[in-house]
Amino acid sequence: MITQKPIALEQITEFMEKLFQAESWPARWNCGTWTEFHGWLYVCSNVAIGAAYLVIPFFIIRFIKAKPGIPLPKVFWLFGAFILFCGLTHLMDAVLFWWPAYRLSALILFLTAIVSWMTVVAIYKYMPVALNLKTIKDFEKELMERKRSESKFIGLLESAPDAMVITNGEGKILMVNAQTEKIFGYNREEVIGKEVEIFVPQRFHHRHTSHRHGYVENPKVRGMGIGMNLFGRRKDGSEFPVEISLSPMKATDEEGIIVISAIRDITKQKEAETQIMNLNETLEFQVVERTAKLEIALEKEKKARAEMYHDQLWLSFLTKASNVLASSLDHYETLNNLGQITTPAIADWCAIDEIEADGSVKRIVVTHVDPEKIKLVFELTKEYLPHLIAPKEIFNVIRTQKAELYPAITAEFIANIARDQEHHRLLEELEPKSAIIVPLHNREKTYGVLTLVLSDSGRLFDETDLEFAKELGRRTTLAIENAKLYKEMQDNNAELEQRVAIRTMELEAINKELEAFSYSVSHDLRAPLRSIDGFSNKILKDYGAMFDDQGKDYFMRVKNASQHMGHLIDDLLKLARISRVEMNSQEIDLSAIARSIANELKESHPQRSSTIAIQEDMKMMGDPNLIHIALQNLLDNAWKYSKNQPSTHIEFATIQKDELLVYFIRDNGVGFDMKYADKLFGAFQRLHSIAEFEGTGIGLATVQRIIRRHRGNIWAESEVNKGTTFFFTL
Amino acid sequence: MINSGKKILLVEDNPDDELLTLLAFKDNNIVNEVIVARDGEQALDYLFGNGIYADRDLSIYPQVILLDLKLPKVDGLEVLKQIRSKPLTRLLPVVILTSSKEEADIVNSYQLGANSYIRKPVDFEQFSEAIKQLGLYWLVLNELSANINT
Repeated sequence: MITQKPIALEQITEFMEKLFQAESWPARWNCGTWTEFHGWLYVCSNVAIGAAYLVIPFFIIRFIKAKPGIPLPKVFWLFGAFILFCGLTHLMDAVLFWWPAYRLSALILFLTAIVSWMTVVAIYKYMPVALNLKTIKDFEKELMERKRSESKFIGLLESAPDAMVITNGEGKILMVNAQTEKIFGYNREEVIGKEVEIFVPQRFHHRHTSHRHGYVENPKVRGMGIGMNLFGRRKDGSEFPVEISLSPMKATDEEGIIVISAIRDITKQKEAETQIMNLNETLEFQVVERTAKLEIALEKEKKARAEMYHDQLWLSFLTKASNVLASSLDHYETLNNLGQITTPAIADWCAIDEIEADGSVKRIVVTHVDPEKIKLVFELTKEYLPHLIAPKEIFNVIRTQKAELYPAITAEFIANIARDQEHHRLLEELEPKSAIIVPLHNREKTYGVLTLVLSDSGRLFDETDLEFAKELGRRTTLAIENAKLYKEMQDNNAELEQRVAIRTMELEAINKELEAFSYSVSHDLRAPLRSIDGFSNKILKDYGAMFDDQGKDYFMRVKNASQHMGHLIDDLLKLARISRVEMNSQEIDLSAIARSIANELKESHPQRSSTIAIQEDMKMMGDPNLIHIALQNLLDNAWKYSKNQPSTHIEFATIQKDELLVYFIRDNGVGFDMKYADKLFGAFQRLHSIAEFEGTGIGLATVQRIIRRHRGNIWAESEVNKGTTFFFTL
Repeated sequence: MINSGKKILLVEDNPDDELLTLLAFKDNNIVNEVIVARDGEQALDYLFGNGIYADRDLSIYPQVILLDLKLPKVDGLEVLKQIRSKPLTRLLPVVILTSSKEEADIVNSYQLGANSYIRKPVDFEQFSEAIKQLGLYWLVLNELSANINT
């Protein structure tokens, strides 16, 4: 073993030292027996292979250099080396024919073996990666998808309501949508590739650029310039307010970040905001102005209030006076009440003078703060009325109908107006200091004069007092007018009431008389008729033999006439009674009443051929007795006036006419000429002679009265010989 | 002939009506004695034995009283009231025979106790028929209470 190791080392050292020595072996041509052909075929083939193997790596290297991005470059390098070594081995094999350096050949083979296995290992190792490498088809498919999503994205972009601007990390515009063109006035060709500052007003460019860099450092979705007023710049240089939100998007590694900006034109909003602000400002201004005005007004009012202290006194007095004036309708009482409240509220004494019917002036009310002096004021008027304060004052006021004010009455003035010593004494005692005389008048008439006087209260009347006193005068006048009107009205009423009472009494008397009359008619008027009829009858019966036929006929006529008159009286009384009796309203079955009357009629003339058709269930509210009388009369008539027809046809039914239920009774009797229709319902009016048809001419008057008492109406339609129809409503 | 000795009291102020009534009785063969009172007072005198009838035997009473309403002095309704208020006469049949057909008269008469109400028709034949019916009913068919005067 010890000897072996140095031997191996020695051999390797010898091998390396004698690497290029070829003396140990013969050239291959001399080794064995080579024909020329065989030898040269071997040599030439090896040289050709070796040359080819040397060329291939050059192409590989060029490929690698040309496609820096190709996958697995290491494998390519190894593969290149492997081919190169293979070429060297083949060249060496050819060289050996002349230069048998077998040691060098062995070294080349050894190196080739190492490179070959390295390649094997590398290929094995990268096999899975290589299998995953995409084919061209895969790439095409991916491309299509990308294109599709891109067009979707562009569609979204174009339809966005805001201007959308997409920039890369350097702020170069990559893409804009239609809205951007519209808002900013550029064509997209004009802006793509430019810096986004094309949309920013010049004065913001510097700031914008630095912000933009900042954003790329720290990209996130956010609004831009929150709380600031942002502006966009149109192609024409004009500016407009905008709102911008930013969102970053990571593109491929090479492109880095891209930024999507949504830009909204907020001109309208801004305008509205501005308007609101302006409005607010205006309002605020108005409020300030108003407040100032109010303050001024307040000041004025304060002043006025101070000034009008006694006006207020007057106003409250006028309110009180109005109440007093309205409290009574007796005018003496009214004026007296007014006088009572006048002192001491507004005057120290007060006098009311009234113009009498004869034109003279009479003092009717005097009040004074000092009751003792009331007498004095009355005394003044008794003797000196026309010259109460000044020679002509009251009469003057009455004549001119203008109120007069005496603001300050001096002793001199009193002395001037005093008529005599006594008058002067009275006036001095009363001490008038200031006075107002107001006429109590309207446009047509002067009722009197109201005098207000101040004496020792220390106050004096002024123009304001005069105005208020005039108002008091107007209100007093109204109260006097009202009282007079009321009195007139009362007088009228009393007269009217008396007249009504008299008329009622008269009517009652007439009514009583009428009742007595109809009672007397029913009683007394019939008695003689009974005698006439009775004794005519007796004469005919007991003394009939004494008369010839004509004489008997005369007696018959007397009898008939008296009986007819009996019927007339009865019917008249009925007619009168119908208007007098009280209505007793209840539900009535008209059909049933008519049926019973029809039956009676048929029984009364059993030999007559007749049909009486009555509609079922005709019901109404009314007085059963009166309605019975009405139906009796109408059906009797129908029966009576159709007696000469071969067959009697009567119908009682209803028809609907303009929402009104109309009853009708139709017969096929003689009828009448419609020109006499207006006479139909008059009492004692007949359209046929008694010889033709018996009757008193009161039946239809009675019917009409009954129908009218039921608030209905009745009318008839007829034609001679074609029958009559009576219509009525109830 | 209807004559059972029963008397009829006719209260009637109109002589024509009186005669016609009597004639009607006669025509219908009613021959009962008819006492005629020409006003209300006379009727009451007869019934209660006053005045000219002071001596009358009050045990004899009319079978029926025919009473007109409109009478001098005391009217028919007052007469009826007095008849109904006195024990002596309160059960006597009273027939109102009048010209009036006033509802008020009819109601008042019945309320005061009239037994019947007949209106005199103008037509004598009808009047005569009514008298006949009246006589037949009140003089023949109708029975009076045995103790009418008690």
